[in-house]
Amino acid sequence: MAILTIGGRRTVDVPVGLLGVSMVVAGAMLLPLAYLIVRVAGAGVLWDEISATATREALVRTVVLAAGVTCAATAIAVPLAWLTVRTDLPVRGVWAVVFALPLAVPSYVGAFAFVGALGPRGMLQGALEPLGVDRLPAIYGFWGAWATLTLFTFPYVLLPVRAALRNMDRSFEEAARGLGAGGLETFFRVTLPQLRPAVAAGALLVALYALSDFGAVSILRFDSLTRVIYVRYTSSFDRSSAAALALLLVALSLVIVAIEGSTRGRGRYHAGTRHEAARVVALGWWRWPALACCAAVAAASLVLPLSVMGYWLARGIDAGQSMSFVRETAFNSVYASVLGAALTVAAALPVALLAVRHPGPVSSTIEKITYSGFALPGITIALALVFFAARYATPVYQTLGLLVFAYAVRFLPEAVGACRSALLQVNPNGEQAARGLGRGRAYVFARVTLPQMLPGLSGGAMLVFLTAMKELPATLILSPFGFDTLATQIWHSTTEARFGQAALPALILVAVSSVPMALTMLRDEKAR
Amino acid sequence: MNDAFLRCTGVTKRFGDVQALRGVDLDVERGHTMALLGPSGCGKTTLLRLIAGFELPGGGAIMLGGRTLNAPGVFVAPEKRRVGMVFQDFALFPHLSVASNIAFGMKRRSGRRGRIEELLEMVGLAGLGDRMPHELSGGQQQRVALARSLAAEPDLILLDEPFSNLDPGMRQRLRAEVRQLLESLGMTAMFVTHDQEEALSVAERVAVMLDGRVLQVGRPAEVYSAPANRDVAEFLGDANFIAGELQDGRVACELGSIDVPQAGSGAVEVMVRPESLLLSGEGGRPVEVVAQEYFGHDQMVTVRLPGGGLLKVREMPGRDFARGQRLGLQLRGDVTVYPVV
Repeated sequence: MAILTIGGRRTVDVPVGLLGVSMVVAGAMLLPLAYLIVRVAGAGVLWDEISATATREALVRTVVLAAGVTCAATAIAVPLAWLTVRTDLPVRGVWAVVFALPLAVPSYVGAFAFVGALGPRGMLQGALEPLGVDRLPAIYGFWGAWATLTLFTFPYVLLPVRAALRNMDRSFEEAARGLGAGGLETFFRVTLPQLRPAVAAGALLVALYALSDFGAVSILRFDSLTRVIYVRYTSSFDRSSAAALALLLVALSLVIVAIEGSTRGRGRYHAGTRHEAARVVALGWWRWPALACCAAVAAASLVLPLSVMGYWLARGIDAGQSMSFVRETAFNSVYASVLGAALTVAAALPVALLAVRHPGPVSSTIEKITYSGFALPGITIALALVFFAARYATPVYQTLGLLVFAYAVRFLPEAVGACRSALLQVNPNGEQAARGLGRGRAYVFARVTLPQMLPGLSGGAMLVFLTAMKELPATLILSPFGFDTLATQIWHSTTEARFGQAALPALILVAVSSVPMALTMLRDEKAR
Repeated sequence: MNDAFLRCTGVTKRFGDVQALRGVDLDVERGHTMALLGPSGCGKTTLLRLIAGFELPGGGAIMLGGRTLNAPGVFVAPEKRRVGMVFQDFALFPHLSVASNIAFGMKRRSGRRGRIEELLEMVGLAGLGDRMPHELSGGQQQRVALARSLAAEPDLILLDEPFSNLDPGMRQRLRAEVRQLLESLGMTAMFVTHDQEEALSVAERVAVMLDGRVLQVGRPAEVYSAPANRDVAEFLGDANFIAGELQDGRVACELGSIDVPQAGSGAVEVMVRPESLLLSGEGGRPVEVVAQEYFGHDQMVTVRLPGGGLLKVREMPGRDFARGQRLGLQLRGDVTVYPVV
């Protein structure tokens, strides 16, 4: 037990062990970024790299892609959210689930579907071949990457906006109507401004996703920063240039986080106390165009990828390709992800305990550090760890341990968040009562705290597991030699246009992450 | 008092800029129930949490049964104090059954089942051991919380606003039950409340806390009839204050010349409880009725003295008073005088 003296104030006792473990976690979290900075500063290439024309162009391309994807995703998500919450659109509950599912499709699987359908040697060209068409307009580049990323990230905006629309008290809109505003005016002047925090939160996720995405841009050959970094890493002797660009990518993420923070404005938003659901708008004849829009989005973001996967799987089986390699890669994926989830949650637990049960400047700093992984793109973490291990920790270089460690750094924010909210559900008086009943700290944690946290904790572990299954750039760079996972298998096969071998791993990945998601969504819909 | 079982001396505690405890001295005898009474924010819960070991004191010492729990350089962990705490929200473990909750702090492994049944019976919940906490009413949860504390065989039980989460009828019943139970077990207990009626009716000793200090400790009747100062008098029920002049054991004020035990002389304030006053048709000081508040078991009549001062008089519920009615005011009990500071 330690007595922390902070600013002359003696705070409640903080167990030394807990504090120590949390500090180690925070230190491990800072390691990749810190090392990258040291490395780049040591090489003295940062300024040269940033001022190079090639870098500037990549930077502009990246920003344009992130901005374009964010705008398009928001433009799709807000109307769909409104249609599925506030109108009498037929089968609203089904649409709600359908529009969340694209999140289960990793960007590289989306890109695979895109290329597999429309690319050279893809489905469309194959169908046109008898007509003598052997060449289609090129689909690579900005538009392909933009469309793919938009179609598979818009749920990040849709989900929070749906929740906000649902929780918004009808009294605000009724007040506006009472003050003489029409339906449309009310939507733009009252409803939409109140959705701003939800839209901003979702847009932040989309922008960060687009910025750090490696899978889609590399398959669709769009030279945004992540692809440039990867190419320089694999092709050049001096990796300092890749490191400098990786650092630039982090800076860009931080700028986006800062922009989101500054758009919050001064208003305070909260649901009214009465909380009565708003009136449902009768669409009337408009329901048909609305349904058509919904169907089009669902077709592009779900039906198309699924049918492309099905088509190529069937083609592969027809051609007598062996699918047995999938068993090993699937096992590798699950193995690495289970280890990653276990390590991440184990690291998150002490941090959350410290932050929730022993609040103070020290614990809040530690917690903030662990959240920084949120702005660290996977490729940056992977590069930093490769450099660090190659120079200072050669025994772990090219081992599974390093990959699992990268997963922990990458997904710690999610796990800390889950642990935190699980812990907030546990009444601290219960823990104190247990201490008063003569039980020590460790016993109380094991018998009182942990059992009550378990549902939230396993949810957090599941989340990390699923995200780790889909993770591509870190897995690609850090996997031990010969250790193929579903993600790397899909990526390799697609970049080499061996679509038949990408189809089954892609289907497995999508199924693994969509089934639990669909089940929870359906349960939530039924509960309403 | 040399036989104090719990002894707090000069206990201080500071939260940032707020001085929650400003040097608390408090003794509780073995087997007694002490009520810690004070308005919210006076530091009474902080003191309780310090005794339980959930907070570190800024200074001072806490001893229990001859053991030092807190002193400069000494801090006994909560689980080693043998101090049980019953929380305002009961804090039952939601994932454990009633029986498992009660068994949680039991030291001995053998004879557990029998002991659990015994405790359940003691708190009037026989046969409910298999229930989960959420399946019980508020009053039942409170009894389980108490049984859980008793099961750990503590030296001292602390209760933090133990009855405030219960509806009024249940509150009355549980108060009497808890008092009886603690008495029959000879348990030393301390409970925190802001409800003066609760403090006066349940405890053998009442400590009045205001602004981080214990201002008075005594038997309920003592504290009520002879408050240590004006603040205590005001907090403990309704009080009238009249300016007076003390001389040779008598105080002269608008109510007349009254015998008091105090010697000395000078300007004083005379404190009169409303129930020490009586309104009658004739005789006494002439007063005029200004307002009437009816409570059922009694009523409070506000009257104006000839000098313009207002007094509150507690009357039986039967009589009717009209505003503007002229009556005579008589004193029928003791008064307390405080020197004017």
